[in-house]
Amino acid sequence: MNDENALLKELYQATILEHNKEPRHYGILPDHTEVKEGYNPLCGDKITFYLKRSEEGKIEAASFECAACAICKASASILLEKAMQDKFRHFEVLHAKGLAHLEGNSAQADSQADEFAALGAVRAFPSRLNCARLPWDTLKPD
Amino acid sequence: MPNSRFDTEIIRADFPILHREVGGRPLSYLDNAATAQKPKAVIDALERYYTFENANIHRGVHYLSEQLTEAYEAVRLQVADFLGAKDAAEVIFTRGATEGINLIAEGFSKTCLGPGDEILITHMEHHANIVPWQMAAEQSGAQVKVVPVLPDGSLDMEALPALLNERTRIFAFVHTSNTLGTINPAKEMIAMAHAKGIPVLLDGAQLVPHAPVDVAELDCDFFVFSGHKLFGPTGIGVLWGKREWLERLPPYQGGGDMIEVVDFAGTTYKGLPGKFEAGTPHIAGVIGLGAAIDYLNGMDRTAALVHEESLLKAATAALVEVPGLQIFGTAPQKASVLSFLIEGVHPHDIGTFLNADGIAIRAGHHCTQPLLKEFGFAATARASFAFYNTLEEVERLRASLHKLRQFFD
Repeated sequence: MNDENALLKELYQATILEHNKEPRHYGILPDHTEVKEGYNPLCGDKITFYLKRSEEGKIEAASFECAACAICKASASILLEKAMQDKFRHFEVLHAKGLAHLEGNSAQADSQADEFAALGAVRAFPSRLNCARLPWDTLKPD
Repeated sequence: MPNSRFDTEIIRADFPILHREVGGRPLSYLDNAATAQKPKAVIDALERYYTFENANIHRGVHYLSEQLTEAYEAVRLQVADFLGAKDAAEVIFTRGATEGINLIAEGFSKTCLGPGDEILITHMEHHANIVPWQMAAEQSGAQVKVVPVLPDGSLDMEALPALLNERTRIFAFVHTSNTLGTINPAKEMIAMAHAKGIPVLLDGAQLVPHAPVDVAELDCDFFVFSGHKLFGPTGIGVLWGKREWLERLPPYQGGGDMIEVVDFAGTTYKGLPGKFEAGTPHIAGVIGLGAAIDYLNGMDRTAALVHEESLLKAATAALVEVPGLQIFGTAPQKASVLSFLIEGVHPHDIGTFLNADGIAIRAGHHCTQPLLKEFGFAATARASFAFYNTLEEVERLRASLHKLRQFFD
């Protein structure tokens, strides 16, 4: 296997392919109170997050839909899976950690080989970094 | 099977980049509709220019300037000949097809367009032949109208007559679609427009790399192309226009080289072609473009086109065998451009996957968002072939796509 193929396998590792096939929290959230849209004008990829906020303005639930590649879709799915597990309580920390993996900032990224680390493989593909970033740039902490 | 009249091995030897590897695999460059690779002759001409010939043109009395002015103007003659134009003064050097269209659109908005007027384009235009007209419409109060595209990627010729009406001031359309590969019946369309007194701008960016052009026979009023798609340098292009039209339109940019007399009481402009070439032009680009045209003129272009057609035929047959693959653009007349979609695999993932096998294709909207939107896609994958591509590369593409299908299943 050549280097490119090894990198490709790392990029499209089981975690990413699985999230692409079975994205978590996918579809329109029926009782959403807010919509956030992201768009990459370079490639035309689109993502929409549906948020349900409490009366105090706290995010209680979220879902997404996209017309985007496997990297973008898996990235959004991982983002929402993590955030929803935690009910968005520590979203700021979680968001910073995810971005740190995408940007290769080892000081903030933790070394656990979890889904976030799977996203980090995109760094070997500069033209695809924006695909992975789009969900994170669209859904940011308040 | 090697074509007896067209030996790709000999041709490929002229293109140094085709011998490099990408990620340990031989490069299969199938992104020619985005930009074409450059033969050694073009690269050498640029090196010679910067090493031995550099000077400014049209203003020096010294040897280098005189020699280079002559070489620069010789390329103008060469381009006129390449396009089948009689008058070299009708050849304007621009930055590319995009600038040529902007020049005409802005000229029209200042002199020929007003409220109630219509600009006609088609649904398969590149953004370069949409946005300048939208800007012209905004400035002048005119409206942009669009010829629809049929499901196979042909233009709706039945809708055309009604869209060419007494309000239409210009009809601007693409000869060969960069996304669909469709070759439009340009001559017939131009004749239809002229029958109603409507001038025509033809976007030839995707035509020139594939087939010879004859603007006199086509009888278009304006023709634009880009050097980089014609195996020449980036940043250089050509606008050809009929003299009566170019004389009627105002200068596009002001500056040195485009004037006769500059006076604070009023400045007078040069005649053609200088009027449209303000400032020191992209001299290196012009010299490189000349070398690219020389290179093409030294080739059997009919045999090159036959070879490209055989690549398109082989690639089409190979791709339809890939499970879940759909070809976008199946018009009867097509250039060697293949846009496709694979069910369940996004075009970007196709592009990244093929890249690992050394295959360069384009994935995205190809600067034709309205076209893709009409068909309900955000992006497609696109393989586009030039005469230096081979059947072996088509086979490599086929094999890689089958592998991809398994990978993403």
